[in-house]
Amino acid sequence: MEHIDPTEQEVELTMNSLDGLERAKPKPFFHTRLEARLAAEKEAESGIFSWLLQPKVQWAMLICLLLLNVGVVVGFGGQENSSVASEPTDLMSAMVQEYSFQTSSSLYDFQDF
Amino acid sequence: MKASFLPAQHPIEKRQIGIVLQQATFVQQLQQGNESAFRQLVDTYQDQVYNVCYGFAHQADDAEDLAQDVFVEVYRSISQYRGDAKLTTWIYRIATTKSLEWIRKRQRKKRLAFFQAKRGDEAGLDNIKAIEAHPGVQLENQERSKILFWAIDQLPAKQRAAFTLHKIEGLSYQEVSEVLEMSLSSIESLMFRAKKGLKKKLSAYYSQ
Repeated sequence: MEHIDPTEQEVELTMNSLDGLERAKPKPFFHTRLEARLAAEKEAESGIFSWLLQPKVQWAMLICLLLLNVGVVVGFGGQENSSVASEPTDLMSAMVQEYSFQTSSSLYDFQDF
Repeated sequence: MKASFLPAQHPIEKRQIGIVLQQATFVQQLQQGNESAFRQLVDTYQDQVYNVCYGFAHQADDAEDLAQDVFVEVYRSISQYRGDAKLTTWIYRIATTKSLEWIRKRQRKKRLAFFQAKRGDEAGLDNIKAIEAHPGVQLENQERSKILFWAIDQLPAKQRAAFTLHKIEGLSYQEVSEVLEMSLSSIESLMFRAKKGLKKKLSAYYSQ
């Protein structure tokens, strides 16, 4: 008597389990649901600011923003630094004049103690 | 008797020409945005598309979403259809591409979840539990078919597509080759490797 390996037999049965398969069918009114989805997508696409959602527009905006940043850094970077650096000294001299302080403050000068 | 310079046409040829002309008119109507033509297209192909999507997704809700995605794509890209392939083949191609895209996205999500949960082999067994039995499978084969679907899910994309189109949708090798834009011998080879891979996977599963 021929011995059949149970694992092999189970594998064969599993491989043949789709024989005589019938088509799966969608739930009724599939077309109605599809129409509703198409209508919703069309409405979203026809919004006033919908063009902003297009990838092309988003990339263009991103590139513009980057260029603007580079322009600001390259064009105004040096001037900003000099004006920022000079600001505290201007403020200091204005305060000295306003409160009649001596320009050579010796408060923390050890040589004077 | 009036002489005819045109070759006499066989009735079957005449019928074929009629079908081709009918399809060309139908496609033209679709490209013009005719709503009733689109409805007719959905009514004609919804079962085929849904069945293919179910073959890949194994769940009714996912298959419904996927089938809708396919028809949305058909609606949007019908203007690009040039009639190089049959309309049926073209729709099957979209259904297969969309299903494989969906699988890739789902696998990416699962991989992330795997690294977060670190559940190891348990994930594989969970997959079988998550698979819904195909509604067209005979009752006595339902449990085995779920195990087969679990094994099919682990095949490489092309083998999986060929196996699903042939075994679940019942397309011939020739039709599968047209849908996947591959030669007939490539499909034969894909199917051979798919069956071999499935048997190996199932043997390992039943030997556990």
